[in-house]
Amino acid sequence: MEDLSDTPSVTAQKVSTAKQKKDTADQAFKLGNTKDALKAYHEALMYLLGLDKNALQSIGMAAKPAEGSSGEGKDKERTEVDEIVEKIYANMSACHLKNQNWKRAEETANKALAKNESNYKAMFRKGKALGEQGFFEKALKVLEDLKTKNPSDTALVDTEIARLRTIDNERERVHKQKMKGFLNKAEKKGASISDDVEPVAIESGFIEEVKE
Amino acid sequence: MVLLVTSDNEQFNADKDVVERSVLIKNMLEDVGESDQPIPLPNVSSSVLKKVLEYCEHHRGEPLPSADADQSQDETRKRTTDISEWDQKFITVDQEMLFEIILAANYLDIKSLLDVGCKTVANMIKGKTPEEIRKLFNIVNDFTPEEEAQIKKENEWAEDR
Repeated sequence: MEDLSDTPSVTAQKVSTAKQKKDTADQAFKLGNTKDALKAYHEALMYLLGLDKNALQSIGMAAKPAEGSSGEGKDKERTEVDEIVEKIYANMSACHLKNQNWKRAEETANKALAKNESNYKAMFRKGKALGEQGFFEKALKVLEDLKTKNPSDTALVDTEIARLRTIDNERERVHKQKMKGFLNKAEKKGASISDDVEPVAIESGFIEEVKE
Repeated sequence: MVLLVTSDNEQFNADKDVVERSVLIKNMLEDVGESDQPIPLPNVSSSVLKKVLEYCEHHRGEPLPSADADQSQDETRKRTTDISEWDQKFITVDQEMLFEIILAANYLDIKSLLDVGCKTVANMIKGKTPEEIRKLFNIVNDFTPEEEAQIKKENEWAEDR
């Protein structure tokens, strides 16, 4: 079998292609075109994931210490590629939030956090995605954690917590309304009340920024 | 049908439920939908992708492990070194191909294939002396004789006699 490992120039080429795709995606996201953005982000990932770490080193992309990470014991090698992948996942999470695809928003935020557990934007998006899926307690935990780690976001995070709490209370109210008197004989009024309840407005500002 | 392009620019056509064994590809298809445009797989070669697709073809339709799989379930999956007969035959390849398959399974996020590959490597190591293992994987012994003696002493209890 021939040697399939990449030469340094091939690896450098792949990284540069991925960066271009990420730029395309960032642009698309800014224009509100989440589908094109997601497509380009996915393609960028196809280039970046599975790259040989040794090959990265040979093109001068040596490991860098993770910024903002607190643990000193972490000597896990972090390359520029890891940083780009982290940003891509965090941005994909923003796309999914915009599409109200909460589950994928949570998954991609988790992927970003796996690369850097102190990615504040990913934490915020994860909290939001959890809350929207009805996991208010979990969302609260993530968002409280975010406030501890990054106090400057406190106001924004508190607003989000309040918003999610309203949604949660509303859910509970509707639920109770539905259940109310379910042991009594069919009382049609209960049903009509819950039908009137409008879903709580979902559109709200999440940290609007793609590039850093 | 989904079109895939490998690092050596070869195109592969495969059924959606076959390529979706790869969680990496599955997520992409779910997020952006199918299109006539090929999906670039620049980090896998045609000879390896051919093998990987053979595996996916055989295992199509089987349930995928969920993203947030139960931890205990994960543990039992990792602990056993059993490999099914078909998988055993499939993974009987030369060592270089074995490692390429493991890398591709990791890249494409095909957990069951990654397991088969890693278990195969584990079985290759099992019961061998350090020297035999070095030979098997072409590893240079970079311990000084003193270090080696020390390690041997520390691990004496684990030796199977």
